[in-house]
Amino acid sequence: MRDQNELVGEFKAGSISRRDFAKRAMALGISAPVITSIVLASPAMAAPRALPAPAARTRAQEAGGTLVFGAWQTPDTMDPQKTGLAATGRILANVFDPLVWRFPGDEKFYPGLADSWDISADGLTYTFKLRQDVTFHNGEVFNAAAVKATFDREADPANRTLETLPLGFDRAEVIDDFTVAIVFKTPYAPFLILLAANSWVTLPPQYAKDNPEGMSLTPPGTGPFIVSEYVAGSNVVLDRNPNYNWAPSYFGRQGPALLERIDWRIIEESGTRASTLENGEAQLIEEIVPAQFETLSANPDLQVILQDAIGCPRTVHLNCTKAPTDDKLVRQAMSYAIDKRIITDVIFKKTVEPAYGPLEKLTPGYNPDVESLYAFSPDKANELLDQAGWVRDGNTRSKDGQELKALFIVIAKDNFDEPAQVIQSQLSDVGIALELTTEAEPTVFNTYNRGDQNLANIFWWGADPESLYSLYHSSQIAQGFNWAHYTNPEVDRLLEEGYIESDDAARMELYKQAQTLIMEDAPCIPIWGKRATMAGAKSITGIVFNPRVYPLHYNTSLG
Amino acid sequence: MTEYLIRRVVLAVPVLLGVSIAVFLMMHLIPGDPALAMLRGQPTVTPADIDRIRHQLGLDDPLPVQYLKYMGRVVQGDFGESVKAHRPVLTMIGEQAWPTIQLALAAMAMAIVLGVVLGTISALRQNTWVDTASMVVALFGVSMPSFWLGLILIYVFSVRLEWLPITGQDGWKRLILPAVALGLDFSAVTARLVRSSLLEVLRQDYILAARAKGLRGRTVVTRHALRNAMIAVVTIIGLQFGFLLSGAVVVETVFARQGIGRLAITAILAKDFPLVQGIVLVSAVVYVAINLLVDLSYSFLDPRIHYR
Repeated sequence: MRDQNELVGEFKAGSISRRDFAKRAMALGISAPVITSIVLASPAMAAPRALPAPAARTRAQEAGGTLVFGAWQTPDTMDPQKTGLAATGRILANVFDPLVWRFPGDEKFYPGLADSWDISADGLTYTFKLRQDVTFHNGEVFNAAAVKATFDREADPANRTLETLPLGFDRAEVIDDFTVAIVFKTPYAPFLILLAANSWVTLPPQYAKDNPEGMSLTPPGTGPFIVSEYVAGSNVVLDRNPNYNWAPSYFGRQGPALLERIDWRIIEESGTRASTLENGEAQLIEEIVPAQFETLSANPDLQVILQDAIGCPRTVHLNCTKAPTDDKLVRQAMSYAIDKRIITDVIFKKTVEPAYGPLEKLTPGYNPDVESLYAFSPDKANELLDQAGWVRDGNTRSKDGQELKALFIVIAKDNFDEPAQVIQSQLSDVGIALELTTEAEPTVFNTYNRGDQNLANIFWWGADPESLYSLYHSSQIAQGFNWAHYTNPEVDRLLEEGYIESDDAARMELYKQAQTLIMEDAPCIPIWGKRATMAGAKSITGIVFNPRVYPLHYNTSLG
Repeated sequence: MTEYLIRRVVLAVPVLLGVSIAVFLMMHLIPGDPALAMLRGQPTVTPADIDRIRHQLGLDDPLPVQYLKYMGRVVQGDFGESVKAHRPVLTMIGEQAWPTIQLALAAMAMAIVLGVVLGTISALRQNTWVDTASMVVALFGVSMPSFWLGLILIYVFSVRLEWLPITGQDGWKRLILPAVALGLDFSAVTARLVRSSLLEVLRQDYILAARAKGLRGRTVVTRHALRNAMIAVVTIIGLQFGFLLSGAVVVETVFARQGIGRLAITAILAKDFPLVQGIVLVSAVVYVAINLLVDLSYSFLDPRIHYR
């Protein structure tokens, strides 16, 4: 306990960085939400939240009770292989266990349903030794055959799954009852990290085959909570799994979850969600909006929980093939011209922090060097624009009789309208006329891929730095998510090698280089980091987040 | 009568066909590809994945083929499967129907009772302060958007007074606030309508005759005047049904209730074509049926009306 207090003291005094603090605190056994809360309560973060006493995650917690949780979105289907929706993922993270676990800000893998694993020297075969004491909620035994059946189900187009197979996947092989090998045609180094982010969770083979309706409503997993009831459009009832005894060591204890039941209510309207917290109908809600932030954090009975996400931050993609953003100098000038603090502090009331690179800070392989790039400087922006030949004469710059105009097509209802207006006004300060239009999903994706825009807004949920491939590899132009239409053969090479390199440290080095190169070319302006936001009764403790920042309620207690 | 019924049912067929074509085109002519939106955030998306999802959604057939395939199944009673939930469309609509019917009936009952009472009082006390006050209340009701009203009701009755719960659909207590939020607008319309048609009816000769033969004032109003004035109100009920459905979208969202409205909006936003088409077709059938019932009820209210 003394070590912890010292550590917190050091951090608050500013003598160690946030990253170092998080790492060391994790080593001392402080739980992730507590670390988050300390970090957020630090003056540097200026988040309006009181500092709770640091507590080890082994602290005796009150067991039992029902947590009523106000969720912001309606799940589409509960079948893990047929959904891509966060609304469903957040429920399923408590119902299905991964083979291996990982947690944000911690670079270690923790054994899950696999006791141990081995990767062949060529990176093509992953052999998992499975736990032998695990059963699904419906009584089926978890074994190698179940893992194989899960991948087979996804590989068969007749099952019409949505989840993508791991790139280069060849087959799953049963070695013995509790040993399974996943074999690839080409190496796919992100495999373990993505497994830990609840991709390709193991399904009960017989049930998945016989009962597709059940899979889409109340799928049996192996996790600490059982989906006992799903009332479509209303709520999902999760009951504690009494047999659960295979929690990862990260949680510091074994046995069933603390909560008896979670009533997962779908409350889409944000005002209603906050009201249910205020009148006590719910004890925890998610996705609080900045407008409610002050009221909720000022309420002495409530706490606000913020957790940084992994993947690619909220970013503006600059189209590298359409004038005037085809000129690197113009893109760099734009990067200097935008003061992200106005967006994070004024529009989002400090509920988010500025982002500096193509990856979120907690993403494995994040390169902190990007943080010193493109510090807000209108002077520097003006200098670069002068250098590019855009002459300022009046409000808008021009060159050869052409005005310096750019088009920002903003995705409608994507929380980017106000930030776009700030960007517009800041670019106009340096003589760039930015036209704003909005277009709805999914039409806007086609528009972006056609390249009608100069500026596009994008973000990505991902647990591994391979997310960069989707956003910055040249093969993703016109038919994927490289809306910057960005090509750099060196970046392409690094991102391709990132799939092959089997040494973890060397692999992360590739992504670090890629981040530097991307920022130098400036096809993107990272604006702010995504966060999971929740508010709940002050007495609630023990919420832990998985790499997709889905809350895990194994240790959650009503206090 | 039977002949009239058959004719009306046959006439409904082109209406429903038109609706089906309209909604099919609307959903499919919106440019843009739901496949890409669905795949966002999946590990390493390849062009092959995009093609795979497009094929799953049936988007790789030409439009007329998609439509004919769809209608071919619909006439056999198969509305297909939701592309998101992977469950039969009719089952999903069935699950959500009852909460919406409850809400609509409660809203309508409240609206009619409140509307008829306010409207009658206004008509009988025409141009007095009672009349003015009732009509101001009615104007207020018509002008308030239901989502705003809903949030205000939640704030007053659930957060401040803590009288009524906010979310869910079990029990009458959870029905009150949504029904008021949904029905207030309709009650205001009804009140104004009852007032004007009652004023007209009260000037008719047969009312004078009723009074002349010495009937009590209350009997004249309820048995003779109001009954005839109700024809206009009943007509409005049929037409208002569509508005109630669209209002349900908002009210069900604000109060986190189950229902067709929320199912529809979720399906539209997710571009779940089969589900949207199913909801629109079923709603159209119900709409046509209710208006037929309304027409038939005229002869009950006014025995002089006959259908041939």
